[in-house]
Amino acid sequence: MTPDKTGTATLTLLPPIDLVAPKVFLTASFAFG
Amino acid sequence: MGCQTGVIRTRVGYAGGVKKNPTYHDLGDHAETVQVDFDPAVVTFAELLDVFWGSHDATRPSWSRQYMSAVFYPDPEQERVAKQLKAKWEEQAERRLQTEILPATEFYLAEDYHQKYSLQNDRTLEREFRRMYPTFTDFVDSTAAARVNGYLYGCRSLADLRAELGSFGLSSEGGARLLDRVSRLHR
Repeated sequence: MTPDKTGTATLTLLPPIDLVAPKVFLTASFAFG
Repeated sequence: MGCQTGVIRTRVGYAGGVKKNPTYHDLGDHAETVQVDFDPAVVTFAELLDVFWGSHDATRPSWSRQYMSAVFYPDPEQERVAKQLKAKWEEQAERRLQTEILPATEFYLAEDYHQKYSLQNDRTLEREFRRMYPTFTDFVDSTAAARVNGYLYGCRSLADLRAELGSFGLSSEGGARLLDRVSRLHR
């Protein structure tokens, strides 16, 4: 929720898939330009 | 990469060189790179490597270091798996792969306009996504954005998209737009 200058708030609704991010993840990096 | 099952985040950037703070127009000795965060309980590094080698012809020499084929490993385990899989792909191709398997050095995030490129270039979908996230960083870090961007490149099938479309937070107009764009790719 992001408050604006007048004190009201704008709801930001995240997509469902963004709300279930796993706690453990790995990172890989690839170059294939 | 973005729409592979188990992929959480994709970010494009520059890696593999020593130049500090490279930019697209001043890349130095870096290569264009995609950094992929993934859930190892859902997809393995080996499976992502299969997607990587399946998506380009690594037997051909690259035009330049900017467009080289490379895997940057952060630990000995990824190094081992990458070397093992490379040997398997070479055996299947009956040729040497040009892919370099190198230790991961610093990854520099590319400029905003390179991130989620296909998605950012679709006005309808871009507008919907930017409304969902307070900042551009949140947008770049988004799993939904990574997946939608991947589908816009034609990865995976229309049936796969239909199965997970509801998890992307799109309006009915946005969902229809995405289905239309992707169905054209698969005609």
